[in-house]
Amino acid sequence: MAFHIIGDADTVLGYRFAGVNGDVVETTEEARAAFKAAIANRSKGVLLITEAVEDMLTEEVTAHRLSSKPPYLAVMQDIWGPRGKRRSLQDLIYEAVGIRIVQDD
Amino acid sequence: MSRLNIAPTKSNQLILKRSLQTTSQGFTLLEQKREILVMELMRLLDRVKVVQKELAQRRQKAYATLRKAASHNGYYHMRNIANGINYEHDVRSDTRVVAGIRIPTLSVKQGVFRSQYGFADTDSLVDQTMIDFLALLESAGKLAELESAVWLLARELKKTQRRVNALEHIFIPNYKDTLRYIGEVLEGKELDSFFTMKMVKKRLSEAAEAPEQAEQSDSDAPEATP
Repeated sequence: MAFHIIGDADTVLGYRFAGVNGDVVETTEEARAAFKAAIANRSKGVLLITEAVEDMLTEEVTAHRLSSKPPYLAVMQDIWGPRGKRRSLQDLIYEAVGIRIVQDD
Repeated sequence: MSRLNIAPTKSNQLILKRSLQTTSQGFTLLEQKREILVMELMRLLDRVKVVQKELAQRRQKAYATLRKAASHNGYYHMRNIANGINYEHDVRSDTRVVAGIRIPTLSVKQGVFRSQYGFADTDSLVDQTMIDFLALLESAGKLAELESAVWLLARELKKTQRRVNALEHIFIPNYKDTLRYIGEVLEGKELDSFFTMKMVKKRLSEAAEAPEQAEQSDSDAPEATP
């Protein structure tokens, strides 16, 4: 598994065109099962999840990020457009790790 | 003021002095590590920003193309085409070391675009979808690599910060206070013993003089008494 995607049917269809296999999930339970299976095999690939899935599995996703083990995670927008305001990487890190990384723009 | 529960002896003082030295060295090193980590994090976050921007552009384009292609060819037809597509992507991970932390780096070798379906029932939008999503995937791989590195570094930074704080605010003051206390006690003891020695010396010299005086008084006595 080099790339793998977990998301809704339409987003997954898009990535199929780039040869990415994926799990189509609708409910939180399905998403959790797919996510667990995807991180269980620890292969050094890239795991793509949609924002919807990230919102469903906030805790699991954070825990996986903190464990810093492969597969490497990337959150992609759904094909139906952005889901409200996303928290930035800095905010997520501040929440999970407790370190505020300030950048001077 | 807090000090360790250690008997104020010379040997303990020596041990503590050595510990304090090691601790101070460790503190300096850890602080350097912290600075390196912060710098690396900043650098990575800058790169994340660039990649995110690139990703957003490619994503918009790819999603728009997909929607267009789906509306031209029909959703079910698109699904059928998609089922037949197969690319050999290869992700290799390496590690690079920053301040003693192994950070994974990914090298993504993507399959090259090629036509994988019949020309007859598809239009150029399908090809374009494939090209766009391949480009999107490339950015996604980059982002995944950078973000995982950022999380790793952030966690490490937190650990280092906690250690630096523990050394700075607990261990080093503790050692210093204890050393001061031991120093004071030892000084007091030294004064004590110095004083005692003086006393003993005085007594001894008195005792050495006293028999002579006693003899003198003895010899004087018979003359004096009559």
